[in-house]
Amino acid sequence: MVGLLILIYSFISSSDGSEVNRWCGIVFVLFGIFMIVLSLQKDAGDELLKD
Amino acid sequence: MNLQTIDYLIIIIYFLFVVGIGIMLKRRVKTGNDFLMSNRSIPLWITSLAFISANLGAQEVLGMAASGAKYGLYTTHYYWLGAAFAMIFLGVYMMPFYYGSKARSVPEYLKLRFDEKTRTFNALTFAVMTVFSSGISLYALASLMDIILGWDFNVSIWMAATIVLIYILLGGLTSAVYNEVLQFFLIVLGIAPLVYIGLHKAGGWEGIVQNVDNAKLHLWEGMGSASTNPMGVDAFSLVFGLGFVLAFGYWCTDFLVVQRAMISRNLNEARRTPIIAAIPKILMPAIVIMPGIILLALQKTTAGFGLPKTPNGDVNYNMTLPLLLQNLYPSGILGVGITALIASFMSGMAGNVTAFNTVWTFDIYQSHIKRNASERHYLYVGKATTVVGILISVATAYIARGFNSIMDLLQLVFSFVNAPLFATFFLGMFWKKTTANGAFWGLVSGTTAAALTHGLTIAEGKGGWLGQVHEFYSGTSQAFNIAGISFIVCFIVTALISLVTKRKPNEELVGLVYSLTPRQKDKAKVWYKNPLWLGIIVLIITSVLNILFY
Repeated sequence: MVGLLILIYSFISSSDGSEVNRWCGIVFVLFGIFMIVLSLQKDAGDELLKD
Repeated sequence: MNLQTIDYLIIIIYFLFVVGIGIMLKRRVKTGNDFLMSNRSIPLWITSLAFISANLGAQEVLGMAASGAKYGLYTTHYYWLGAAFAMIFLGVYMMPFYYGSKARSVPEYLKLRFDEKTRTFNALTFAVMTVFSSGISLYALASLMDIILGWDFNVSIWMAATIVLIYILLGGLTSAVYNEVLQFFLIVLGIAPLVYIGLHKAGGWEGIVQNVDNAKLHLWEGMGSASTNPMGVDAFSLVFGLGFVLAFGYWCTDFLVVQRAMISRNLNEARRTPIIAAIPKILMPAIVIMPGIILLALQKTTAGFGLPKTPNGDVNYNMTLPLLLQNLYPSGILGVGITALIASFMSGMAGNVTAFNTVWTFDIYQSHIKRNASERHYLYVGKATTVVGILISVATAYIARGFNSIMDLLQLVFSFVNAPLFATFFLGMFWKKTTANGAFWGLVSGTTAAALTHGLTIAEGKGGWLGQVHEFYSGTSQAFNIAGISFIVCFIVTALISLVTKRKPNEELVGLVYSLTPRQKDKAKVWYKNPLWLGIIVLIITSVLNILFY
C-alpha cells in the first residue's frame, strides 16, 4: 500500500526525487505482492488466516 | 526537515495499521494466557522476526548508526561477536530448559530451578529495567521528533504511548508480536534505500575506503590495546565483556527477547527461533551501522553533512540517521524513513511493556498477591499492568530528559542487571550442585559488584561516585569491564555458597539441568529444521564476516 502510494506520487509530483520514489515504490509493491503470495500458501502455518 | 502531505499520509496509514492489527486480534484474547503468552501458538517465521524486532528499538536503529559514525566498523562487534554466538547458544543449549520446563517467563524458570526469592529478585530488577527502557524509547522518539520535525515533545510522547497502549490492550502479546513483524519490514524498507542512495553518492565501497579513516574500517585491527582503536577497548574486555558476558546475558536471559521464542508452537520451533533470527541479525549492520560510515565519507566529499553539537559542545552522533534522511530522501520515501524511525521506537517500547506485564502478572502478582484466581482475573490484571507500565514509561521519559547518551545509559543498566544473571543461569543449567541460596546471593553480590565497580572507576567523566580507583580508556571499556567483574563475582559467590548449602534432590531437577535431563535427539532429517545444523551455518557465516573485515 505504501509502495503504491509513493509510486503514484512519483508520477504526479515534479520534485527532483521522483526517480527515487519511483524505484522505491516499485520495489515495495513487488515486495508486498511477494508477501501476499507467501501468506496465501497452504502451509504458511499462520493460524490467524484460519480464523 | 519539512514533511509533505504524502509523508504524513504514510505515517497515518502506519498508525491505522498497527491499531488495526490490535482490533483484528482482539477476539483471540479471552484469558490471561492468551493476553500474556499468546497461548503458545505463534508460527516460527513470526517468532523469529519478532525476536529480532523486539531488540530493534531506538537504541538499535539510532544508536548503532551513531556508533557507526563514532567507531566505524568496530560497532559490528555487537552483532558478529556479541549477538550471533549468544543467539546460537540460546537456541541449541538453553531453550530446551526454558520451553521444556513449561515456565511462562524467565523468572519462573528461576523459581523452578532455585526458589521463590531468586525469582522475585530477578522479576523485580527486570520489571524496573523494562519500564525504564520503554521510557527511554519514548523519550528518544519525542526528542527526535521535536528536533527534526518540530513536533511538540508532549504530543509525541502521549501519541506514541496511546497507540502502543491501544494495540497491546486489544491484542495482548500476539498483537505486539505481529506489530513487531510489521515494524521490522518497515525499518528495513525505510532505511535500506538510504544505504543504497548514500553508498551511490559516496562513490560506492571504494569511495568509503578512500574517504573514511582506515582505523574505522576494521573489526580486529588495533585491538591489542585500548589506545589503538576508535572504540577504546582492548581485545580481552571486548571478547569477555561484550562477546561473552553482556551478549549472553542479554540474548540468553533477557525475557524481553526470550519471550518471543517461548511462545512458539513447539520445542523445535522455539529452539530454531533465535537461530533463524540470527541470520537477519548478522546482516543488520548493513542497515543500521552502514549509515554512520556513509556519513563519514559524505562529510569529506559533500557539504551539509556535518553533525550538530549537543548542548555540552560534543558532536551529537545520535543525529546521524536523521541527518542522512533529511539530505538524501525526497518527500514520499522520506515519509517511509520517518515511519521506520517511529516504528523502531514503538517496537522497542511495546516489547518492553509486554515483557513487563507478563513478569508483573505471573511472577509478582500471582506468586505474592493472589495465587489461585481465575484466568479471567489474570487477564484483567495483565491489562491493568499494561496501563500502569505505559504510564510509568511516560514518567520515565520525562525524567530521561536529563540524560544525553541513550546507548551509554542502557549499557550501564544492562551491565548492572544482566551480567551477573548469565552466571546464575549458566551454573544453574549446567551444574547440578548449584543451590538456591548460592544463586540468590550470587545475583545480589554480582549486581552490587557492578554498581561498586562503576562507583569506583571513571571513564569520560562518568562513574567514580564512590572514589577513583581506576580510570578506563573509554566509557565502552568501562561498561564491558563492569560486566566482566560482575559476572566473575556472581560466578564465584554462587559456586562457593552452593558448596556449603543444601541443594535440591536430583529428581526435582530433571528438565531443568543439563546433566539430569535426557537428551532429545533432533528427529528432523532436513538441515533447516535442525537447530544444531542451522547454528553451525550461522557460525560459519559470522566467522567468515569477521575474517573478511579483520
